[in-house]
Amino acid sequence: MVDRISLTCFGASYVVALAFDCLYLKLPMRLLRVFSLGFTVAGLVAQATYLACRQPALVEPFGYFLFLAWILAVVHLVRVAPQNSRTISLFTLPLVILLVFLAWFLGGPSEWGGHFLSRRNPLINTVHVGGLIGASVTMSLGFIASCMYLARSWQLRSKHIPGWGLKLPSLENLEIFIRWSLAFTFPLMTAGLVLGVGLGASSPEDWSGWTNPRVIATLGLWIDFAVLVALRHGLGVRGNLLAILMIVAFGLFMVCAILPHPVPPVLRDGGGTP
Amino acid sequence: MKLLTASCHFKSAPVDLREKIGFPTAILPDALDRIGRELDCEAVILSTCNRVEVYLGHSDDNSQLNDESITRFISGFHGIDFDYLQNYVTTRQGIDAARHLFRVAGSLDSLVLGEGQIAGQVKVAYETARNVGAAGPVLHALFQQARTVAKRVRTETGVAQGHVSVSSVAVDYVREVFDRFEDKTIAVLGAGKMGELTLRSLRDLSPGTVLICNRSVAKAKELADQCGGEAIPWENLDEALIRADIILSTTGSPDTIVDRARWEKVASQRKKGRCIILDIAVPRDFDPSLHDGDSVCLFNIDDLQKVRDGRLAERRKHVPHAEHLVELEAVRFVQQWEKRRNNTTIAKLTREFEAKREAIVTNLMARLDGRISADDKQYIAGAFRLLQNQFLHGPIAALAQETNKGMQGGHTLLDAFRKLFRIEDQT
Repeated sequence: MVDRISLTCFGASYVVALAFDCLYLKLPMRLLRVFSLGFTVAGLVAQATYLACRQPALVEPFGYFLFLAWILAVVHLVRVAPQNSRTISLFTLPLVILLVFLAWFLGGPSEWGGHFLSRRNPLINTVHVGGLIGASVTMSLGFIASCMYLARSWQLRSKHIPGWGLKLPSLENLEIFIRWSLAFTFPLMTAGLVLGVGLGASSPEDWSGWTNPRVIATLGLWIDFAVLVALRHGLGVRGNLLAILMIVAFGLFMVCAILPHPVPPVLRDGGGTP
Repeated sequence: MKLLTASCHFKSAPVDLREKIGFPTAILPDALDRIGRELDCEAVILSTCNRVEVYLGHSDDNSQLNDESITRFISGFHGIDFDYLQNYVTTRQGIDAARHLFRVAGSLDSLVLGEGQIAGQVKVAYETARNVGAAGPVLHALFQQARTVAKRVRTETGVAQGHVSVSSVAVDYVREVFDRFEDKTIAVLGAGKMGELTLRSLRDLSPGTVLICNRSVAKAKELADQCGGEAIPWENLDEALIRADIILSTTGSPDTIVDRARWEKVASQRKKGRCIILDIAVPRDFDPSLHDGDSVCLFNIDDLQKVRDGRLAERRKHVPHAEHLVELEAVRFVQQWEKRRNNTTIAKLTREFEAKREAIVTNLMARLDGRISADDKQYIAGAFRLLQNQFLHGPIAALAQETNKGMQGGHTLLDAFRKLFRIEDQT
């Protein structure tokens, strides 16, 4: 039974939940919210079971995206879904679905997969992966808040009728959230990257070097975030610009996550098939 | 049941007449008492600035209440010529009266469609009548139903959605930009009447500081004292602009006060991020090009009125649905009332038939005692019961069916029913 759970099961669950939320915009019936919540829970449980059974490697985009999608689905369920009047789920659920789709698109777990983390230097590895996963989660939340910020700003710029269309949080709240996301993402990402470089340096024979596209893209991402943090703290940058830079940073993060890891998992796991 | 209403409202009567025939709170109990004595009926009076309505009810169908008696009472009470008053008073009876009250309570007949005040006014009118003993079972049932209808119209249709006053629309915009207000500063430029109204709505948000900046320092101080704010001389306008998160501008200045150059100078000194400007002055005080939907959100009086008109237009789209609800509830009210009365008649008829059947069966059993078995006795008693049920089923079903058609259909048949079976009226 558990073996039969596939990406389609929970991906479709999230799509149906999103469809109910879209319908709720046109037809504000409480029942639709309940259905949406139900399908999200179903998708979440199926995804948790899938992750627990298959344990895809987090160094691969497949495992990484699935795990990130699962955390975002949890955040969605705990923080967003219970809010009846908001249409935040129209921003969170598409991201969850996109991540599941990317995982499917980039292929299933490879033959040598089977563990979340590498077996070499387990503690440092855990902190390295934990830092990067944490940074990814806060960055994803910052990305969602940035999209909502731009949508809200567009509503205000076009002087829409208050209360009509998407019911979003205030500009003030969204900006606070983006700044909060920046404050958490940067140190987590820095810690994760430093440890990653340290791990690479400790096994130079496996390390594909500074010319690896993922290393370059990650460095670009780190610089982008450093600029964002400087703008956020140093200069009074406008919310719109902050939101756009956050979205760019998220795009860069997606590129980094898709690119091959500088240390192939097969080598990180000591060359053995688990 | 007899139900009547006389209505004189903003669409049908001029304001001077409405003023004359109004029933202020002070004289309302006396008026209700007099109606009860003179017309021998239940009464509720709804008297607001936009309408004066008198609702009369009587549980007896044959009551002498009529359209003229109600208008004549109003004319006599206020000393207004009856013929003159008759031109402006609309009277309704039965289901039309019920439907009218439901439309009024649901705010479908209000000056501002969907406004929320009228439902409360209807409630107060009924409670006042109940407290002085003027409202009885008919009006009690009617006004209870009116409350339900008002609630259904507000919650199940869109006729009451969104705020439609300019000041509430302004607050709605402010809430889309800010969430917390205890650390916010509101600067009011000018001290006009419209500004005062909007400031009143903004103060409900409990802002941290209110700055009043006016050309007349005395006026600024007066308004500042009223709202617990801080008066700022007009020469220090830039200081107010630098400190403010929300700017409410209502000056009577013929020229633009804050153009782009001045704002840029101010913005460079501002420590706060974004600012929302509510420019409700005509001519406008702020350069409209300052609006960017991010660091400066500027809304002028046209924007606010456009939202108000848009919301009213949106409310109007929901009127057919609301009218349908009202119609359903009016029919339901009449049917329930008729059912209640029919049930009394049917219960009495059934009781009488039961008693007669029991008497006949008891006599028969006494006569046949010893000649038939217990099973036969039971069969005969059952047969009589079946005969009674089959005999009564037709008329009772016909009465129920006729009642479901509405008030008028049920009456004739019920009367015939009572006469045929010689049942006294117990409603």
